[in-house]
Amino acid sequence: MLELHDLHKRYGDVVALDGVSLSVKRGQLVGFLGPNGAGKTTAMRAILRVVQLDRGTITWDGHPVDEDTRRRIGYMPAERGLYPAMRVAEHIEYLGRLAGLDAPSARRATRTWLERLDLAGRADDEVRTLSTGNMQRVQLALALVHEPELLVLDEPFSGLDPLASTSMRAILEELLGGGTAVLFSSHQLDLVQDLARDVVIVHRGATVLSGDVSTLRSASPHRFVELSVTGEGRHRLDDLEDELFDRFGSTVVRRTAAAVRLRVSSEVDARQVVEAAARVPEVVGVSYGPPDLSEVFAEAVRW
Amino acid sequence: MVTPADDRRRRSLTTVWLVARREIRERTRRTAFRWSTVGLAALTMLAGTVAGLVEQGSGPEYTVAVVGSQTEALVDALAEPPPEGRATSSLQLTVVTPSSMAEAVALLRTGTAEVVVDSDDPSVVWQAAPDPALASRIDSALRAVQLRSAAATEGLPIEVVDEVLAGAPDVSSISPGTSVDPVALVAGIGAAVLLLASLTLWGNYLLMSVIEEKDTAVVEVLLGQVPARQLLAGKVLGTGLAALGQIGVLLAAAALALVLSGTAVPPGVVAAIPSVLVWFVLGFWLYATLYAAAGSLVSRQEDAGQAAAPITIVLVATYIVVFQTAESPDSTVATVLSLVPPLAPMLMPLRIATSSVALWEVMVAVSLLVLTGLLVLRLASRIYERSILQRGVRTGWADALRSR
Repeated sequence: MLELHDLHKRYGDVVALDGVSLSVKRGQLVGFLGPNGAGKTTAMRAILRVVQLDRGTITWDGHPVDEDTRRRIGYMPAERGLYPAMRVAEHIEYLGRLAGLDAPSARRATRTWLERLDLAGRADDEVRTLSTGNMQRVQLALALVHEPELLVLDEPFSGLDPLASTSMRAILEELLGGGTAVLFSSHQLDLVQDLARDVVIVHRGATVLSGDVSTLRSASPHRFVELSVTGEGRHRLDDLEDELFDRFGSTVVRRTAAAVRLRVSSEVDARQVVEAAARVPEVVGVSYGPPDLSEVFAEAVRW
Repeated sequence: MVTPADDRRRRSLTTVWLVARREIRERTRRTAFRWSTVGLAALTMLAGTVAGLVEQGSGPEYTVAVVGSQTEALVDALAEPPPEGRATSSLQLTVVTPSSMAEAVALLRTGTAEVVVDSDDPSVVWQAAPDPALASRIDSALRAVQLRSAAATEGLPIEVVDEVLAGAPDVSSISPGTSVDPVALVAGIGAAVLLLASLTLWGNYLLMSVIEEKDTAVVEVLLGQVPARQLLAGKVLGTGLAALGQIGVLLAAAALALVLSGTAVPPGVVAAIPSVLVWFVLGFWLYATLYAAAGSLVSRQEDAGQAAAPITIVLVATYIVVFQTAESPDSTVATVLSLVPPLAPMLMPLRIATSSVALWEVMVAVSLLVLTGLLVLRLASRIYERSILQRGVRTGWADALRSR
């Protein structure tokens, strides 16, 4: 298990970390969220000891991360970096050797990952000749070549097209099944909501919210009603807004010509709200539920 | 017994070597490297051959007329290998044997011969002012002939005489520096310029390679597995070995040129050629760590020149001093400057080639260089560790040392 406890780091007058704590178990995937500049990258760098902390502890299975444990971590930094003039296979093998694999194992692992990432045909090409998507795959291979027990991925989905994104998810899910612990940061909250059971939200260098995604969502004091209509129903949305405001004190979150999303208190009787909404003619869809992860996130980092 | 500490040390050495090997491959794989090595080797050979030609034409040529009953013995004695002094060994002698003294003097008058030697009643007649080198050579030859004939009369074994003659003292000038041997001069300046050029060239390769890693952000991937110090050590080692290989080729070319041109190579030069490798190692250690630190301060290739400016200034200054030193390698200024660490790698081999440098001077220069190297390594790796991940901003040298 990876445990970060009360991390602190300043750069001159800038406070990068001000009490970040989190943990990731084997076989667990944790989404690491926070606005830009919240300290995600600094915290992830600190796990790899690329950044020296002012205060706080980082342990893997109860031991501080040292040279030995570091070799059991796979790291993908937010800024992708590859040697443009190196050949693909050579590059992956090199990182494998640096992570402690002997030459035959590094070669074997490189071949395996080239196959799995659909790069086998490009093994002897120089990295600079690859497309952005393929470079991303090479980058992922660098993090995986030494079969790490823990993966630290900084924005692994950024810049991926939907297809590449899907194959990345498949790979992550497979690794999780094998017991790998994964910590990844992302700004694509809908994707995180689908993929991760657990999230940690940091803001201004400190952990503000963490836990199971569905628990966090249902723990919110708010519920959301969403209604989409067509035809005659479009002219009745204003009336509905007024009615729900009078009866339940709702507020409009989003409004288009054919749809409205309203926020109510979680105390309100869900059935009455949904029934009121469903009375509008020509309804296409009604939903009632807890906030999305993005709404939970927005609430957590609002102050 | 293998302790965990041993294991860690072995692994960090493996890491350093892996990084170094990548640098060597990356560097030597480039066509530019191969062609520049071939081109420089050709230039070196050309320089060596020119030096050889200069040397061959430099020895004064004399015609010696020998007369008298001992003519044959004297001609042999003159043809014997001269004592190991530079001044006499470069003499080019033609020996003629006119039938009489009168005929010999006639040769002097017409200028066909420069000196007449009578072997019976030992006497030497010069056409003009005597050349001390030739005079001493003739003197030695005459004494050898006399000694041999005396020995024959007294019944001394000829071996004893030959042994005595072979032990003749070296003949050389007591004021070296007034005229530096041209081969030594070319070799010495060549060595210094080669060292300067190599340090600049390879230092800049390292500078660019550090910046490239920063610019492409690959350095962060590496730092996830490799401590900054080991990365730095591997880069310096790898670049250094590639450079050493190139210099080895160039030195071999120079040596080959000297051998092929049949030049008489001064002993200082023989010592200077392999010592270039040692001076390069010491110099590279010092300059390379500085170049690497400079590279870590900036994030873009365009800023490279500015970051490396302080190092470039020192190297350019050294270039100027090299020619000053070549003119008077034994002056106090040259001696002192050749002990100064940043200059020593260029000036010491130059002085070793062109004059006689005392062992203590070499020891002092090496010690100072090693000490400075260690100090600079500490500072440079600290700068490197602190600035290698600072992207976007250009850090000053002083800031990098202060901040943490």
